[in-house]
Amino acid sequence: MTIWHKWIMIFVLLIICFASIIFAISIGAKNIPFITVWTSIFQYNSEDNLHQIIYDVRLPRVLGAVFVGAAFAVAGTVIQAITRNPLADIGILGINGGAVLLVTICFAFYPAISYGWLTFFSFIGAALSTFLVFSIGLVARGNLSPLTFTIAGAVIAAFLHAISSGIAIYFDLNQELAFWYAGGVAGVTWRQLPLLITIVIVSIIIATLLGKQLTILSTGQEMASSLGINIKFLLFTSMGVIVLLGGVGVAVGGSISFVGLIIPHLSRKFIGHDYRWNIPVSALLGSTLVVIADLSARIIFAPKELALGILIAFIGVPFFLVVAKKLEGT
Amino acid sequence: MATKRRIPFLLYISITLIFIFLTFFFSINTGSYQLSLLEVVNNLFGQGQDHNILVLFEYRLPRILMALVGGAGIAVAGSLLQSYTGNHLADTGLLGLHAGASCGLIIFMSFFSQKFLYAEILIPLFAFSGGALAAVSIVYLAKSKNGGINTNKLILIGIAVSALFNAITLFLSLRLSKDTYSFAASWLLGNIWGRHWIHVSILIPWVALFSFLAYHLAHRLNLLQVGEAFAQTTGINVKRTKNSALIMAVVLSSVSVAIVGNISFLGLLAPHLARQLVGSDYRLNLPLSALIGAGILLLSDTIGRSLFEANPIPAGILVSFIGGPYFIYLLLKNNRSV
Repeated sequence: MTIWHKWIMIFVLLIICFASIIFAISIGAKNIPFITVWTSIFQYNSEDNLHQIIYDVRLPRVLGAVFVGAAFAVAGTVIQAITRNPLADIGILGINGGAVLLVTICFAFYPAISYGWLTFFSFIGAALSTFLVFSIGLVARGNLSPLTFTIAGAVIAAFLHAISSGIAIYFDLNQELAFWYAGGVAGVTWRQLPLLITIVIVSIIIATLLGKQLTILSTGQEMASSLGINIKFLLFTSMGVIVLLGGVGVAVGGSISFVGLIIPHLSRKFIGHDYRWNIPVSALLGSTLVVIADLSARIIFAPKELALGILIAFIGVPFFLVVAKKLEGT
Repeated sequence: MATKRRIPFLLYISITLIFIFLTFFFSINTGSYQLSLLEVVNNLFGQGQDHNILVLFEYRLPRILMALVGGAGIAVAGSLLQSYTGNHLADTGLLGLHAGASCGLIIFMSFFSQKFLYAEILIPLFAFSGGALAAVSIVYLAKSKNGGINTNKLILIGIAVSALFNAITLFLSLRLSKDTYSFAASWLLGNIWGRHWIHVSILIPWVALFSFLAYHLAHRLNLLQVGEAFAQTTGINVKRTKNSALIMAVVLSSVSVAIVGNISFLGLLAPHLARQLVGSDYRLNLPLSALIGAGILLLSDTIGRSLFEANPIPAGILVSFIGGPYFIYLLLKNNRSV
C-alpha cells in the first residue's frame, strides 16, 4: 500500500464519518432536511425552530458520540499495541470500571460536583485501575498469555463493578448511575464538550507521534530495545494516553465496552500495522461506529431509546468470540 | 486411611453446622423489628405472640432458608462444573450459566408471569432453559478442532457469553416498567428476592434432588479426576459421567440463581475451601462444599442487611468482594506453576 493509498483511505473515511454525522443530526423524532443541517451550522439563525433543535439537542449529542467514540477506539488501539493482546479493550480490562468507581464515589459524597472535577476524578479512577491491571502482569512471574491477562482484567472489571454497585445501592444512587453503567451520550451538553474535545485531540496527537515506536514495540520488546527505544518511557506515555482517553470518555459517555476491541481490528484490516496511520484511522472509525450506533439506539424503538452500551455489546460480543477463537488457533 | 480422613471430615462438617446455626440465630434477629433471643426460641417452638410469629415465619425464615438452600445449590454446581472442566477456576457465574438463567427469568417475567395463577412454578423451567442454552453455547464455542477444551478459553468465552446474556436481560427489563428494571438490576447483583414460602417450595425439591444425584456421582467423579484414560479402564462411561455432571451443574445453578439472584464466585469459593479442608475425595468435599456455600451466602446476606441497615447491600456484592481477589490469586498461582 503506497502512501497515496493511505491518504485516499483517510480521506474516504473522513467523508464517511462526516456523512454519518450529518445523517445523525438530521434523523430523529423530527426529521430535518440535510440542507437545513448545513445552514444551521454555518449560518445559525436563533429564530428558526429547526436550528434550535439542532443546536441545543442534536449537535452536542452527536459531537459527544464523535469524540467519545474516538477516545475509546484510540485507547483500545494503544492498549492492544503495548500489551500485544488482540483481546485488550479498556472496557473489558476494567480500566473504565475504575473510572466509574470514582465517579460513583463522587456522586455519593459530593453530589453537587462540577463537571471539571468529575472528569478529574474519573482520570484518577482510570489511572488506579490501569495500575492495578498492569501490576497483575508484573506480579505473575511467568509470562501471562493474552487469554490469562484478559481474564484477570475481566475479573477486575467485575470486582470494581461490584464495589461501585455496592456504593450506589447504599447511597441510593441507582437512578443517577444507571446511565454510567449502560453507557450513552444522550445527556451530553455544550458545557462538557470543550474539555472532551481538547483532551481527545491532544491525546490522539501524542499517540500518533508515538506511532512509529508503538509499531516496533508491537512486534516484540527485544526488537524495540535493540533499536534503541526507551521502552519504559514509551509504556509510561502510552498508559498516560490510555488514562486520559479512558477517563474523559467515561466522564462524558459512561462505560462503553467493545469499541476499543472492534475498531483496532478493523483499522488493521484497512491500513495495516503501521501505528502512525493506524491511530488516526481508529479515531475516525470509532467516531463513525459510535455515531451510527447512537443513531440506531435512538430510532430502532422510537420513541423509546436503547442504551448505547447494550447496543454495542450486541455487536461486540460476537466479535470478541471470533477473535478469541482465532487466537487459540495460533 | 479412609477412617483417618473421616474424623476431620466429621469435625469440619460439625464446625460448619455450628457456624450456620450461629449465623441463623443472628440473622433471624436482624432487621428493623428486634426480638430477644428467648423470644425467638419461644416463637420457633410454637409459643409466641402472633405478630412475632408473623415477622419470623412470613418474612425472615423464608429468606434465610432461601439463602441456605440457594447457597448450597450454587456450591454443588460449582464443584460439578470444576469436575467437568477439570479446572479449579471454573465458576458457574463466571462461565455465564447465571447470566443465561437470569435471562430465562426475565423472559418469563416479560411474557408469562401474569398469564395464570401460580405461574411461579414455571420459573425453574425458564431459568434452566436459559442456563442450558448458555452452557451449550459455551461448550460448543470453546471446543477446539481436536475435541479438547482449553479452560482459559472456556472462561473467556463464558465472560463474553454472560456479557451478551446480560445485555439481553437489561434490554428486556428496560422495555418493561421502571420497577422491573430496578428489580432486574438489583437481582443481577445478587439480591435475594424470593421471600415467600412459594419460592422456598419451588427451590428445595430441585436442589435436594439434584444434590442427592450429584452425591451419587461422586465416586465416578473421583475416578475421573485421576485422569480420563484411567477412568475409562475402570469401566465407567466417561462421556456420560461428564455430561451428567454438566447437566446437574446447570440445573442446580439455574434454579438457585433464579430464586436467590446472581451470586458470582460462590461456586468457586465453597468447593475450594472444602477441598482445602478435606481433600479431593468428592464423597467428602461435595457435602462439605454444600454446607460451606450455604453458610457463606447466609452470612453475606445477614451482613448486607445488618451492617448497612438503611440500604441493604445485596449478598452477591459481598461475596464477590472476597471471591474476586481470590480468583485472581488462583489465576496467578496457576500461571506460575505452568
